[in-house]
Amino acid sequence: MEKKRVADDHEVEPAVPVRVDRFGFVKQEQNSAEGLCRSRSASEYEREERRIRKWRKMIGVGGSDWKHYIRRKPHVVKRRIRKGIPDCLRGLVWQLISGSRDLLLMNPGVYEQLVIYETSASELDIIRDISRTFPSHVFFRQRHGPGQRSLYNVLKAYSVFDRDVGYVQGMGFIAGLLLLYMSEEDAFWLLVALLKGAVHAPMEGLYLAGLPLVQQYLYQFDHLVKEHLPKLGEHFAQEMINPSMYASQWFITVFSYSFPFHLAIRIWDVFLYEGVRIVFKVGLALLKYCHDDLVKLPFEKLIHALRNFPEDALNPDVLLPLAYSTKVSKGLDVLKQEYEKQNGKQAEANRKQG
Amino acid sequence: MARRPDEEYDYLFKVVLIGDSGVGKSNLLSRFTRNEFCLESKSTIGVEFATRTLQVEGRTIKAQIWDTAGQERYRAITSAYYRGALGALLVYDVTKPTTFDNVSRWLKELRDHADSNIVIMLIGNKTDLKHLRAVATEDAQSFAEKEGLAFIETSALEATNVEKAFQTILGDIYRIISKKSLASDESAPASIKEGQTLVVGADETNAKKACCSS
Repeated sequence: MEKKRVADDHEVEPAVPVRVDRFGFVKQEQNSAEGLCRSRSASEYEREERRIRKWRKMIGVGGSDWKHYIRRKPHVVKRRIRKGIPDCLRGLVWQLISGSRDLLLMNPGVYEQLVIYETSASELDIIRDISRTFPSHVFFRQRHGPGQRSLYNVLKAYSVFDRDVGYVQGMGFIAGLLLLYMSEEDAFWLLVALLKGAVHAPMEGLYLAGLPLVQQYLYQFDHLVKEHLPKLGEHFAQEMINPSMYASQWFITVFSYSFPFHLAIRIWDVFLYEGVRIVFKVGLALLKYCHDDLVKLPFEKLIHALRNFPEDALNPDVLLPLAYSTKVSKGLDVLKQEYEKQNGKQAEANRKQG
Repeated sequence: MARRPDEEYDYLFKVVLIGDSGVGKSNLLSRFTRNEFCLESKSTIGVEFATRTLQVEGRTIKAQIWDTAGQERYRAITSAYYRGALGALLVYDVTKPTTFDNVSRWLKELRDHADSNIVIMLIGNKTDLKHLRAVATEDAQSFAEKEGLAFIETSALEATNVEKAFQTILGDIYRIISKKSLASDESAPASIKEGQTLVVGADETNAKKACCSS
């Protein structure tokens, strides 16, 4: 999909031919092998084709059979999503499972109105960050190119649609990720579905004044680490490491900020269907996978390690099964109540102040 | 605490980088710690961290630097990192007057959340963009004098004055600390010995390593 966009875009820096991976990111040495174009064997290719056929049958033409199927066989859907949505259907399926397709159909013309006629107090803030969002992706790296324009439009539209949230750094990475799989208007409504809570609990608290949901998630994660990985939890406490030092961006951008793209999209498949739990699970799985190394490291090396996980830990086929096997639901509920009890009054005050 | 051979230093100073979004904080940090500048850098989400050990006034000083997201809403997370910092580099962009106007707000932010004796240095960054300059050196200089801040202009891109900025603030911190140590030496002469690791700025990140806290 991204390849086509490059071909359409005649202005892309003609002098220096850029080499990109299969997702459209400019190739660098540190790019992981997974993202690079590797030739697939015939059997792999066939397996992929079979998988796509299955998926097409499941969703029907343009998603017509989806709701029916999901009601009848939610577990099959869950299992297949956990294996990864075929890339060519990803954009459509994301819209179906997030509930954004319904929002789009219920609100014809609204996006256009927001983009064309409204002005936003955040316009300058958005512009300042546009070239700093996925700067190594061909779709976004060209100044004032179609990628940057789309990104600007989606973020501006959202900042008008929800003036309490406006624009907050980090939203750009989410919008950018979505724009690689769908149109501006579709990406906008998916952002709305997530932040306003079309299917799962609303996530606007990630970006509201005081970042209340970030604080809650960090509290929950901190306690989950202690519960699931007591030895590491103790080591973190000793070294004075807290999750705000390494995990805030995991939550604020749902792993889209600094994780390899091929992993980020697999997490997003599950995130959109199962909700934010998967972010906690993946976070715990990362720590679990690297546990024996992490417990040995002193403060500074720990911080470095928590921002630079080894490539084998970032392999979706290793990390995700480990994440799926981590149970957090109950813990999350209890911790949320605990957090609200402790911070309820304060959070309320912050909200009013903000 | 026993010193690790690869990590020898006399002092560990915690410093925070603050200022509006997009003024070049992350690139100042990467220029100082790795001598790198990234034209395609991403905006900072939350906090970043880097260290560098260097000689200041004949002492080996390890600078532990926290780089923070500049957008106002992120202060909910980043202000926790001011605690225990001995120095703050308050950065504005010499081509963007609003980032200079906001310096007063950042100072208030420091007064509210940081230790009262924190050393603050005002930095006007991006001097390489000469044709776009919109904040005069004299204006910033007189503002800094009025507020009692050290002041310097830098270009992270051209590596102008970056080393000097960090050297200056670390030197200022060192002088304050050594004066203090001297004073406390009189009452407890055995507390600091030559060659012993002295960690200053007890805070959540290094309190446990402190053998002498400020």
